[in-house]
Amino acid sequence: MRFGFDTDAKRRMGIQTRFLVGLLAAGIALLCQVSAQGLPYRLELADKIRLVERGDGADRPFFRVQFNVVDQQGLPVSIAPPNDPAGVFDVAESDGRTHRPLLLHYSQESFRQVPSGVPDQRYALLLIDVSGSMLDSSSADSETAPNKYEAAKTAARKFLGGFQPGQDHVAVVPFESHQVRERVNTATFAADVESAERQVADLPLPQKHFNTGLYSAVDTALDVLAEIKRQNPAAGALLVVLTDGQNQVLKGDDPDLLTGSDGLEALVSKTNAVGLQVMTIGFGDESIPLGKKGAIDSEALRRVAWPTASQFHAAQDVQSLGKLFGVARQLLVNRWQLTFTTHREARGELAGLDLQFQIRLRLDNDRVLRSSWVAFKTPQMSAPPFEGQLEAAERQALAQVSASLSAPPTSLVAGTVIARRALIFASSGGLLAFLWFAVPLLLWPKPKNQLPRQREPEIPKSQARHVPPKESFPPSPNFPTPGQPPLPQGLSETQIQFEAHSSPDRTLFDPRGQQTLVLGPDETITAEMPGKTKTQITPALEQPPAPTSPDETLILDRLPDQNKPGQTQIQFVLPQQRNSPDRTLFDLRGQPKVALKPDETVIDPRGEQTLIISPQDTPPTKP
Amino acid sequence: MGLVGALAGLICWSLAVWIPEVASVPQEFFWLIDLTQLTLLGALIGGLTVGFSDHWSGEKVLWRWLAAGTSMGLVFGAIAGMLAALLSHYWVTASGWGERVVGWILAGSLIGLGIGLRWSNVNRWRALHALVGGGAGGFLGGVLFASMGSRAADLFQAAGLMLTGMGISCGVAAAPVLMRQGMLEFIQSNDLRTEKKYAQQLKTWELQKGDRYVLGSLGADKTATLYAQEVQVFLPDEAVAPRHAILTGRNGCFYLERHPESIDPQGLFNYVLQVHGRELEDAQILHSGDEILIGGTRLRFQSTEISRG
Repeated sequence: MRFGFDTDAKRRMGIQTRFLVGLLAAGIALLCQVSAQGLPYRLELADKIRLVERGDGADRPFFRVQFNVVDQQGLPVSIAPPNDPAGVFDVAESDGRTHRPLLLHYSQESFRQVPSGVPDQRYALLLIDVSGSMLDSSSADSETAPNKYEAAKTAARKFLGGFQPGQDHVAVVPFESHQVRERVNTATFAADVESAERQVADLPLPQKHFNTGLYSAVDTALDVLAEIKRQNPAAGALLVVLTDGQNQVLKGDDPDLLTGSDGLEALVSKTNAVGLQVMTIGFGDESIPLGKKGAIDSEALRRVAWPTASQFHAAQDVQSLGKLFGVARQLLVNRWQLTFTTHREARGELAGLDLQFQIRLRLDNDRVLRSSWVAFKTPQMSAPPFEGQLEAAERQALAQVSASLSAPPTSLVAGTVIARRALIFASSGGLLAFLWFAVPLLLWPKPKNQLPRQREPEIPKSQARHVPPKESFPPSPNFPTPGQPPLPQGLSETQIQFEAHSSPDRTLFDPRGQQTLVLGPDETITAEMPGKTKTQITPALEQPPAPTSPDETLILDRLPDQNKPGQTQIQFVLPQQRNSPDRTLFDLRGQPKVALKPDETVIDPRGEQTLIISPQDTPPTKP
Repeated sequence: MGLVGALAGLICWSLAVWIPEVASVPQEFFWLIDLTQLTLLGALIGGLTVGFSDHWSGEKVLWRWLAAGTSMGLVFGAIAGMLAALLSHYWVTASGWGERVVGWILAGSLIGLGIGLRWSNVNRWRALHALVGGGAGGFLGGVLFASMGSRAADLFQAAGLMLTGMGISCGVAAAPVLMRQGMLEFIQSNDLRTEKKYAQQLKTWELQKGDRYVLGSLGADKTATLYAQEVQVFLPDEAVAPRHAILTGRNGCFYLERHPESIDPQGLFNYVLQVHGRELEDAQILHSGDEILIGGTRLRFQSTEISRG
C-alpha cells in the first residue's frame, strides 16, 4: 500500500484547501462586516484633505484624504474591502452634492489597477521620552518589572513587527529637556528594520536630571513630518508620542522650549494646522493627580492627539504599552486613501469657498459609517494653490473613470489663463482710464469758445514785498550809502522794462520779482542763467538813459518817537506807492516804519556794502 | 484720487494672482498667500497714494516720502495679513463667508489707518477717515469675492482688491472733500511760478474742522520730515515765508494767524499777511469770501457754514 496522493487526489485536496481558505476568508470578512454593523464604528481622518492637481498642467482640482475605520476608543478596526468600493464609498459636500471616489487605496491594495512600482510610502516618527522618571519601574506592583525606559524600548520594537522595506520608514527619536529640537530635527528615517532596531537600541539611558520638553519635541516632530508630506504628498505619516509625565522645563534646560498653557495652545494650533495623525501614549498611572510624582498630564496629551482626543491612550504596564504600539502600527497600515474630484472644473472655482466634506461608507444593511465633517479652508483673498499631484495610479484610474475629466492640452490651459488675466487687466485698466480722464470731461465739460481766465487786478508792488536773494542784488545807486551824496535827480539813469514774457527763463527777473529796474550810469548787472553764459546788461546797450521822475525818489523821514521818548522812528515814504527795485532794507523789515533806539543800527544786508542807519544819520530825502 | 487705490489694487492683483501658480503651498501656510498679498497691496497703495497726493497738492514728490508711504502701507498690510490669519485660524464657520468678509474689512481698515496716519498732523480724524474708507472698501471687496469668487476667481479677486484700494484712497482723499467745511481758493499771484502752478487748475484746498494747515513756501526738498509735508498749502512765491501762516479750524470757526517763524525776534512782521487789505497781527477769524494776501499771492476763503465769529 502506497501512501500518498494521486494526482487527482492532490488536485481535489488543492481545490478543497483553496475552498476552505476562501470560505475562511469570507467568514472573517463577513464577521468583520457583521461586527461593523453591530458596533458604532466611524471613519476618522489620518491626514487632512489635500488639494492636488492632475500633474499635466490641467487646472481641475482633485482631493486626497486618508482615514481609518476606528471604534469608539479610536482603535483601528479591520473591515473587509468591499466588492464595489466606488459604490459603497462616497463623499458628501455641505452643499448637498455627493462625489464618488476615483480611487481607493487600502493598505497595499488598490481597488483599481495600480501600476507596479508605485509603493505606498509610510513614515512613522516614534518620539520616546527619556526623562529621569523613565528610570522608574513600569509597574508599582512588581519589583521585577523593567523600568519604563526598557519597557518603552520593548514596545517600540513591537512597532517594527511587519516592517516592510521599501514602504516603511521609521525614526526613533529620544527627547528630554536638552537639545530637544536638534535631536528631532536630525531624525533619520530608517528604511530597513535593522536600522530601525538599531535606533531603538541606541536610545540614550535616562538621567535623573533630565526633564521633559514634551511640547517642543512634538512641535519639532510635526515640522519634520510636514516636510516629508510636502516632498511626498501621498505618503502616510504618523507621529507616536510616548511620555510618562508632563511637559516640565526647569532651569538649565534648553532656553527656547514651549512651556505652560501658552506652549500647549501653540502646540494644539500646530497639530490642527499640520493635520497629521498624532497618537499620544501616557505611560503610568492616570489616576495620580497632576503635580505629584508619576502623574501623567492626560488632558494635555488628549489635546495634542490628532484628529481627536481618542488618539490618546494610557498604558499601565509593559504589556499594554506593547499593545498600543501595535495599535499605532495598525493605524498607519490600515489606512484608506480616497481620491475624488468635484463638479468644479478649475481651481479658481474654489476661491472664496470653505468646503466641508464628509466621507461615508455604506454597509450592506444600509448602515452608514461616517467621518466628521472635514473642512478644506481656502485662502481668504485668492484661489488655493495645489499641494501636490495625482500619483500615477490615480491618473490611470481617472482615465478609466471618465473621458470627460480628461484635460485639454497643457499649452491650451496656460494660454487660456494668461489670456483671461490679460483681458481682466486690460479691461480694468481701461475702465480706470475712462473714469480718470473721460468722466471728468463728461461731468464738467469745457464750454466752447471758452473765454480766457479773467485777469485779476495785479497786486500792488508795495504790498508784494519780499526778501531778495543776497547774491543776486547789486548795490543800487538809488540807495544812498554813508558818505555818498544822493544822485542828482534824473541824471543818466536807465530804466529797463522787462516784459512778462520777454525772457523765457527769466532768471534775472524772477528772483527779484520785479519788472522794472533802474540802473545808474555806471551800473552793470549780470543776468546769469543756470548753465549758460553770463549776459551783461548795461544801460547803454539796453536802453537810452531816461530821466528818473522825482516821484520815484525815496524819502526817509526821521521823526521822534512819540510813544517812546529817546527813540527815533524812521519812516520810509514811498511816493505813489512805487517801490524802488532795490528795496532791500524795507523788505527785510517789512515795515514802513522802523523804530530805532539811540544806539541801535540797522544793517543793510546787501552784502557788498554795509549800510548802517542810526538815529543820528540824516535820512536821505528828496533834495 | 480714489482711482489711485483702485490702480494699486489692480497692480497688486496682477502680481498676486500668480502666487498660487508658482508656489506649491501647503494648507497650513495658506495664510502666507494672504499675508503676501496684503503686504503687497499695502505697499502699493501707500506708495501710490502718497505719490499722487503730493503731486496733486502741488508739491514735489520726494523719494523719501514715497518710500515712507510704501513702508507704512507694507507694515500695516503685513499686520493685517497676520490678523487675518489669526482670524481664519480661530474663527471657523461652516461656509467661511463671514470670516472672509471680516478679513477683507480688517485688511482695508488697517492699511487705510497706516496710510492715513500721514495726514494726522493736519487733522487727526484723517487717519480715521482712511480707516473707515478702507473698511468700507474691504467690505465691498470681501462680499464680492466671498460671494462671487467661485464663479470667476480672477475677475472678482481683481475687483475686490480694486474696491479695497479705492476705499482706502477715498478715505484719505475724498473724505476731506465730502466733509469739507471751508476751502481756500487760489486767485492770483505776482509770482509767476505760483501763478503758473495754480491759476490754470483753479487750485483749491479743502478745509475741515480740526484741520491745521501751514501755509508757506517751504519746498518738499527743503523739508527734513520723513513721512509728511511740513507745509500743507504750498505757495512757491518768493514773497512768501517758508512757514508763513497757520490756518486752523476750531470751535466752529477757521482762524488765520502768522506762523511764529515769520515774525522776527524783535516782533516785527517780515512778510505780508493781510485779510481784506488789513495787515494781520493776531489770529483772526475768517469769514466766507475773505480775501487773503500772503506775500504776493491772493487767496480767497470760502466757508460752507456761517462762521460764528
